[in-house]
Order: sequence, then structure tokens, then C-alpha cells
Amino acid sequence: MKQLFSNPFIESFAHRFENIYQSVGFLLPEAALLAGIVLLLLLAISTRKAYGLRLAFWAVAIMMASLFAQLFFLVGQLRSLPDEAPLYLMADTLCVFHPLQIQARIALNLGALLFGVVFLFELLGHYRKESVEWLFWALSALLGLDLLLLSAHFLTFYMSFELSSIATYFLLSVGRQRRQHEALMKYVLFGAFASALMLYGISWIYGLAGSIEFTQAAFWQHLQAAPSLWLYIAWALFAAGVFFKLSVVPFHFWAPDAYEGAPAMSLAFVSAIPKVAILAFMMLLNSRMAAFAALQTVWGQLLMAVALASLLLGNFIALRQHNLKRLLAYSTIAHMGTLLLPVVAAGYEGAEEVFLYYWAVYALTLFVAFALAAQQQIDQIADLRRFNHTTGAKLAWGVVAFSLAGLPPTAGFLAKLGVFVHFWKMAASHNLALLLWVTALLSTAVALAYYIKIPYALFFKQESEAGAPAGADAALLPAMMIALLLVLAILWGYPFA
Amino acid sequence: MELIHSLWLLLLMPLAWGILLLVQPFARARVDGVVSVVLYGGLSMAGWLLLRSTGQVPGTVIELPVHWQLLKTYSVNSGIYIDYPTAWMVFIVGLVGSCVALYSCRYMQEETHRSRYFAYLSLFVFAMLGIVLVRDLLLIYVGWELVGLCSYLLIGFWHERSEARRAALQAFVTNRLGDAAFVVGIGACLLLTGSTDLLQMQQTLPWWAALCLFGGTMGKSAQFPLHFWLPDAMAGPTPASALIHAATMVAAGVYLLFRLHPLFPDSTLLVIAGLALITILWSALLACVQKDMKRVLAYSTVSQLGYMILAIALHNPAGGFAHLLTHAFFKAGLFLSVGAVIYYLHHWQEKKGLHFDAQNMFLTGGWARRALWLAIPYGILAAALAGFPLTAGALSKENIIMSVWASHARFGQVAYYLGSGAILGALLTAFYMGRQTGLIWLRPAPPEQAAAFPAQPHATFIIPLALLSVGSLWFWWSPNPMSLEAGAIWQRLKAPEASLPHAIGYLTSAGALFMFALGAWLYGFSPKGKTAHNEPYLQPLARLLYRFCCLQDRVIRYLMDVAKPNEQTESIWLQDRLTAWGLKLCRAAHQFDSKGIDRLINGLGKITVVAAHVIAWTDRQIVDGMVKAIVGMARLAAYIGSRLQSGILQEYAWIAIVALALIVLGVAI
Repeated sequence: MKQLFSNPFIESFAHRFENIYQSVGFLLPEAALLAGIVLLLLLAISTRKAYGLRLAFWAVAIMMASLFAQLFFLVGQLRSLPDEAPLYLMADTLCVFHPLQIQARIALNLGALLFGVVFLFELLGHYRKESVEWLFWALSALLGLDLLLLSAHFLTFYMSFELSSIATYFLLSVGRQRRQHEALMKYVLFGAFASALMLYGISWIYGLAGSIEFTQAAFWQHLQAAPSLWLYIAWALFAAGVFFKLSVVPFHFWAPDAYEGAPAMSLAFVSAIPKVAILAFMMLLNSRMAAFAALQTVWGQLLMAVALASLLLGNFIALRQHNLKRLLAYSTIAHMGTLLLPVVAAGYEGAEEVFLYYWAVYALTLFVAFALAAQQQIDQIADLRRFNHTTGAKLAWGVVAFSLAGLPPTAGFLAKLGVFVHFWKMAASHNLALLLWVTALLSTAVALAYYIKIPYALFFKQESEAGAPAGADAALLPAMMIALLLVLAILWGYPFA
Repeated sequence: MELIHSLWLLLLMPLAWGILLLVQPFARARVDGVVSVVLYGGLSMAGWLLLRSTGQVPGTVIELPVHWQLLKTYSVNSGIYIDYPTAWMVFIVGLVGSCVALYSCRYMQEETHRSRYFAYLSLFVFAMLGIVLVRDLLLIYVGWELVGLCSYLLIGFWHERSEARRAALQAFVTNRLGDAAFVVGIGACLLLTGSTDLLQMQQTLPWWAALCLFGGTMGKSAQFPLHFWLPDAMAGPTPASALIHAATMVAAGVYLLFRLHPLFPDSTLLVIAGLALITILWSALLACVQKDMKRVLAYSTVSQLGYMILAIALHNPAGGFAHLLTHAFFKAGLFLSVGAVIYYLHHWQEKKGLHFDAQNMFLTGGWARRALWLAIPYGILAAALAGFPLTAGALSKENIIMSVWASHARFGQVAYYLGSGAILGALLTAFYMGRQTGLIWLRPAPPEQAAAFPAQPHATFIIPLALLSVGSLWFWWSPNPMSLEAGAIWQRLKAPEASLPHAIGYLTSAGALFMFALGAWLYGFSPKGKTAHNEPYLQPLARLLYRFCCLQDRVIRYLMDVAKPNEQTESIWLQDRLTAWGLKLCRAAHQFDSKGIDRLINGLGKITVVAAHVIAWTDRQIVDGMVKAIVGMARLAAYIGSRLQSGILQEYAWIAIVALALIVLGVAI
């Protein structure tokens, strides 16, 4: 027996097995998600009557259960992180832990939970028959994003990135009308194009660094030695995929078209949730190159240029939009531009808080907007006038507009203020950053002009008393609760030190 | 004691719920009713727990995290004070509130604006809790005005009806009259004692300040001569009347007096007692001649509030407070059971397309035989109001009468007059309750009304009624069915030492039984063969009484010089007088205003207009031009940007690549 173990092959095998066995514990959150996905799949294929309200409720229940389980494990991981400690905790060469990373995963989870709740109320309002598929793809996308945050290697990053992308394609296709498949097709092709560019970029990086294991110091040392123009090209190509996912200029084209025909509930998921994972990943990447100033300059300048373009283009084109979903698509582009500010300034203290707060406020606001739009089946902004809204729905719309614009009685204001105050630390000593800071500030004023259309249509241009009653009322409850929360958040005051 | 410190959250919950309901009405779902029931039920549980925990300690002060410095030398104490009576009030508000909310689930089922109704109810509960929990007079005043507002909104809930609008306005204005005095009283407290904190005020107030403070009670608790708004307030929904105009809001005045009476001088208390006695007798007499079943109960509420005030004024706070609590039970229950009768009659009437006054007692009858499940709770509750032995009402009311009788030790001979008046009032109470019982329940029903009776009881009606009528039995209040002195309330609230003349109580009970029977017999058992229902068909004696009352009505009308014959003569007369006085006052103020102040304001106005013209010119010429230029640029940028969105995928890819390359070039070089 002992002979057997002393065999070097067996021994290394046993060692590996031991290693795998011990690191399984680190993947429990993902296991919970996976279990949920499998159960949903079984549910979808095992029932003969494929569609039914009860089935939909079961699906939501499964999703919520797996999300709660994941949350439980994630909180456990967050607690087990040492307080003072090494910033990165390697579980294996394949996954790393970092406070921000776990926080971002929790944010993903909470966003999905909220999505589940809103979805449940949506079901109460008007039943959709594709709900099982919907939740299945939502969970799959979530798993992809979660793994993306865990990855320590560009190849695992790419795999999980694709998992989430593919799930997102399907998510946006569910419940879509036939003639709107063209926009979806463009989205898929453009996505493939972007991820091909990213893969190409990764191969450039491999060529420059000789490795793509970006958790190793050697990787960065080799990379630093490369000529800077090559570095720009490599990073720019790599970033193409990321930019596509974030829908920032110049990879934003898909967003307005794809948003326009998609069901509002999918949009609530796609437009808000994946962003936190991608941005957090970029922040982590940015803080990894902290020791390599030249690399950080390359990466930072690239991001700043893109943020600048997104802020300008997103805000100005939004001025011309009359379709609510297109408007929100351009607003997303602009908001992603703003969210890139803390990512660029990741090295300055407090970036994580500012970033997570901004994202949370933005996601909550979008949830309110899309939940309201889904309930009332609103496409054009002018549609808002056709219905008899309850005061609550009107106020919730008002909160959406104010929070997106970043006006005072809402949390959106605090979030914007936090980002600007934080970014000033960088802008004070950096020309391009200063330009970006000023642009972001001014484009906020431009944004007011189009967000104000929403309350204007509701409060001043109400057409007639005899409009159609708007939406199922009990189903508006979560939207209004979130809206109330967005207003109440101001009571906690400025949340950043 | 940690839990108790988060009590103010409890206070905010009805507020939040009320606002939510106002902002987001639930038209289809039954959420509003159910959540209200649960919320108020939770409140009453909290009250019960408080009651248990305050059994030992004298009182708990909870400081709120808010400090309200109103003046340099004076800050409002925003803390909460919880002692035994407070806990009782929280309990009773929650309990009656949840009963009423449950009852309203059916009663208000078909209303379009049901959510608004529940919202007002919830806001009312918040304001009422505010009154009973806070310790500063100024904050009590805030709650005081808020309950007034809710009462106004609920009386006028059916604002399509002119009498509801009128009644709401009348109630509001009359209450403001009392509140004006109350504000003066609060100011006097501040001036004289330097504080409006109930826990800090110790010294006795001068008589005028005490009377001003009593003004608040007079308006809110409908005491003579500000009593007339309460019967008219019956134009509101019946369950709201049960909660607000019977059990809780009108009792707020009594509660205030309960808190303040140690500060009042004896002379003022005697005046208050005299007014209370006039209220008792006057409204009991008026209750004997009403045709409308809700108005009978309203007048009886006024009269019972008089009892409470009488007791407190004669230094028997325990008796007065106990009567407040028992009265909350049986009067709310009476309103709910009579409301059920009105509900069924109303529905039958709508189904048949008939038009008659569903609340007129002379137009219906026979409900005991057809709806026994409704008659039994009504019987218990009416017995409690009339003061039958074995009921809670008898315990508290007779305690009051006995203590009035016994207060001659302090107040002298006048106590006997007051006591006799109180006994007379109790007998009248029994009589009009007997009359109502006879008219609605015992009399044979008009034959065509057979279909009006409900086939089966509704649980939403039965449960609140059962709760309230069981609560009106004696054993909750005192183990001894003949005396309150064995009960916890009496022992907790430091009753006077004097021994009570129990014989008076027994005599009153016996008299009440007799008067109830007399009323029921006179009105409930008509001579055979007479079935006309529009004219009251009555026993000869009752007819005589009726004629006498009609005569009295005419005499009052003549005296008050009102041309139009009307049911609500008395109140309209008083209201007209008040309005006339108010108008005179307004005109005088206007005269003063238009002479001096108007000219100043006119001058200011002219300057403003000139300045505005100047600014407008600059605005048009200079600022607008700049704005237009900026807007034009923004439009151009938007146009160019949206041209990029051509819809052709190949172009997208090219643009992306070129843009990326440009960015790289731009940044790298």
C-alpha cells in the first residue's frame, strides 16, 4: 500500500485530489447557484404542462432559495476573510478572494434577489408564460458573472465572461416579438465581434507577458517591460469585450436597439446587474497594477478616454429620444461613463465604497423604472400621459427621474456627489482626469434636460381624466417601496467619510 | 425595558401606513383592510404588554432622539411618558381600531375610495397615539389638531352629500373654538409655570387658565355648550363614528382633563362639574326624542362624556377613567351593531329601489326575531350603557354616581344636587336605551321588510361585536359585580379614601332596570291592529310623551327664531349665531387690514413690478440668447451622435474599431 503511494504519479494525483477536496468549500456559493440552475432546468423539462402560473411561482421559489443559500455562503466567506490581512487570499491558482470581490458578489446576489421579488410581483400583475426560462437564464448569467469575479486567469475570465454573455443573449430574447429579433441578432453578432477582439487582446497580452495568470507578480513584471504602444494595443483589444459588456462608447451601439424591443423585466436585469461584476473586476485589475506605474497609466488613460466619450455621447444623444427604453439605454451609457470614474481612481482611498454605493443606487432606480414600465407596458415617454396613474406611481416615476439625474431629494444625488468628491482627489493632480471631472459635472446638467421629460409628461401634460387605469396596483408595491427607500436614503446623510 | 424604548416606532407605523394608502390606493386588492386590522391588532397587543409591564412601575420616561428648542429659554420636551393610563389608552385605541377596521372590511366594501377611508383611519390612530403618549402639552396640542383634522375628513367622507359637508365643517369650526381657548391655556401654563411639560407642572393654575384649558376638553368631548357638533357628525361612516366619535377621540378631552385636573383650583372644578351635569341632562333629554338611531347614540355619548368629566371634576379620576374605558367598549359596540342594521336596510332599499331614511327607528322593527345573532350583542351592550347589574357600564357609572354623592365631604351641599342630577341622567339613559331597543328590536317588523333581514351572519360583523360585548361584561373590570372597588383600575389610580354609599348604586340600578323596561314596553309593544309605519303607532302614554316632545320641539324652535322646521334646529341655531359672530370679527379685522397694511403691500408690489420688468428685459435680451446658443449646440451634438446609430452592423463594427484605434493613438501619443 505504502508502495503505491510512493509512486510519484499517484502521489501527485492524491495531492491534487486532496487539494480539490479542500478547495471545494470555497466554491459553495457557486454550487448553490448551480443547484438552483439544475433544479430550474429539471422543473422546465419534467412538467408536462410546460406553462402555468403555479410553475412560475415554483421557479421563483427555487431561484430565491438558491440565491439565499448563495448569500449565506458568501457572507460566511466575507466573515472568514482576515481583517488586517493580505489583500488577496488565494484559494488555489484558479480563484482569489478579496474583500471587494466578495462584496461585489454579494451585490450581484442582492441584485438578483431584488430581481426575484420584483419578478414575483410582476407575475401577480400579468402572467408571462416564459418565466421558467427567464429565471434559468438569469441565474446562468449570474453564475457566469460570479465566476468572472473569482477568476485568476484570463482564460477562466474569458470562459465565465462568455457564459454570462450567452445567458444574457437569451435573457434579452425571451418574450420578444418576432420582428424585433433583428436587433437581437445584431446584438449577438456584435457581442461575438467584441469578444473575438478580447480574445485577440488576450493573445497579445500572452505574447507580451508570457503568461496570462494575472495574479502572479511575474506576469506584471514581464508586462511592464513591454513597449508602451504594444501595451496600449493589447489592453485596448482586451478592453473591447469589457466595454461591450458595459455598453460604453464605442461599443455602445447594441444597447439602444436591443433595449427597445426587450421586455422591461429582462432589461432590469441586464442593464443593472452585470455591470457591478465587470466594473469590480476592472477595479481589482487596476489595484493589482498599483505597483507598476507605467501599466497603470496606460490602463487609466484608456478608461478615461472611454469614459469621456461615453459621458458626452450618451447624454447628448439621449436628448433626442422619445422612446423610454432607448432613453434609458443612453442614460445607461452615460451612467457607465460616470461609474468608470471610481474605477480609474481605484488607487485613491474610498473608491470601493463610492463605486458600490453609486452602483446600488443606480440599480435600484433602474429596477423601479423597469418595474413601473413593465406593469404599465409603457414604451414611449408620451405613453405616460395616456394612463391615469395613482399618485404613488407618479411619485415613483418622479423619484426615478430625479435619482437618475442626481437631484437632491434622492439617493442619486448622494451617489453622484460621492463620485465627484472622490474623483477630485485624482483630478486635482492630473490633466486628463481634470478634463473628465469637468465633463462629468457639466454633462449632469445636460442630463437634467431629458430626465425631466418624465415628470413633465406625468404632472403637466396629463391628457384626460378618462385615461386607461394604469397597471395592477398591488404589483406596483415593490417599485414604490424601493422609490421610498431612495428618498429615505437621504436621511442617512452623506455616506462617505 | 429595552423594547419599550423603540415604542416610538410603533407610533410611526400607522402614520406610514396611512401615507402609503393615501399615495397608493389599493382599488382591487383587499390589502388595506387586512393590513389595518393586523396593524391595530398589533398595537393593542403592545398596549396589553405595556399594561402588564406598567403594573409594577409608576411610569417610564422615554427620551426621543429629537430635541426641539423652540425658544432660547424654552424647549419642547419631545419624550414619551408611559404609565398605567397611557398603556390602557394604547390598548383601547388598538383594540377598538382593529375591531372597527375588521368591521369596515365589509361595511365599506363597495366604496370606491375605500383606501382613503382606511388611510384617514390610520392617520387618526397615529394622531390619537400621539395625544396619549407624549408628555408635553404643546405636542399634545399637535396631536389634538391632527385628530380634529382626521375627524373632519371622516365626517365629510361622503362629501357628495351636502349634510356631510356641513356637518364636517361644523365639527371642525366648533372644535377650533374650543382649541383656541386651549391654546390660550397652554400659553398661560408656559407663562405661569415656565413649562408645558406634564411631568414638571406642579403648582395650581389660576381659575381663568384652568377654564381655558378646559375649553379644549369642551370642544373635543362635546360638552355643553359646544356639544352640538357630535350628533351632526353622524353623517360620517358608522364604523368611523364608532372609533372616533364614540370610543377614542371624544374621550381625548376626558383624558386631557384626567391629566390636568390636579392643577385646577376647586372653584373651577365645581364650575366644570356643573357644566358636565347640564350636559348629561340636556343631551339625555334630547336622546329621548330622536328618530335617527345613530343620533340617539350620539347624544348618549355626549351624556356619558359628561359623566366622565363630572367624576374627574369631583376628584374621582379612577371612576372617570374607568367609565372612559368601559364606555369605549360598549358604545363602539352599539355603533357597530346599529350600523349593521343600517347596512342591511340600506342594501335592501337599494335592491328594491325604495327611498326612505334607513336610520329612522320608526320605519323599521323586529330585528330581534330575525337576526338574533345581532340582537344578543346589542342587548349586552345596551344593558351596559343603561347600567344593568353584571355589566361593565353599571360598575363605572354607579361608581361615578356614588362618588359624586360622597364628595359632599369636600364640596358641601352642592354634591347632593349634582348626585341627584346624575341619578336622573342614569334613569333617562336607561329610558332612551329601552326606547331604542323597543323600536328597533322588539316591535313587530313592517311586513314588507321581511327580505331586509340577513340570511346569515357575517363574520366580519360578528367578531368585533362579540369581542366588544364580552368586554362589556363585569368580570374583566372587577371581580365583584356590584362594585368597581375590587378592580385593578380603582386600586391603581389612587382613589379617594371616602367610603362610597353603595345603597345609592343599588337603587340606581333598580331604577335603571325599571326605566329600561318602561321604555321598551312603551315603544316596543304597540296596540294590536295598527301597522302604519310612517306615523308612530304607540301606546297612549308613549303617544303623550311623543306629543309633548313635539311640542317641546316647537317651543324651542319658536324661542330660537328659526323659520325653517328642521330636525337639527338647536344646532343650526347655535351655528348661525357663531357664524354671525365670526363674520363680524372677520370684517373688523379686514377693516383694520385694508387701511394700513394694504397700502404698504401695494407700494411694495409696485416696486416689485418695476424691478421685474427690468429683469425681464435683461433676461430676454442677454440670458436667453446665450441659452439658445447652448441649446442649439446640444441639438447639433445629439443629431450627429444619433446619426452614428445607423442600424447597420458592419458600420457599427467599423466605427468601433476606428474609434478604438483613435483612442489608442490619442492616448498613446
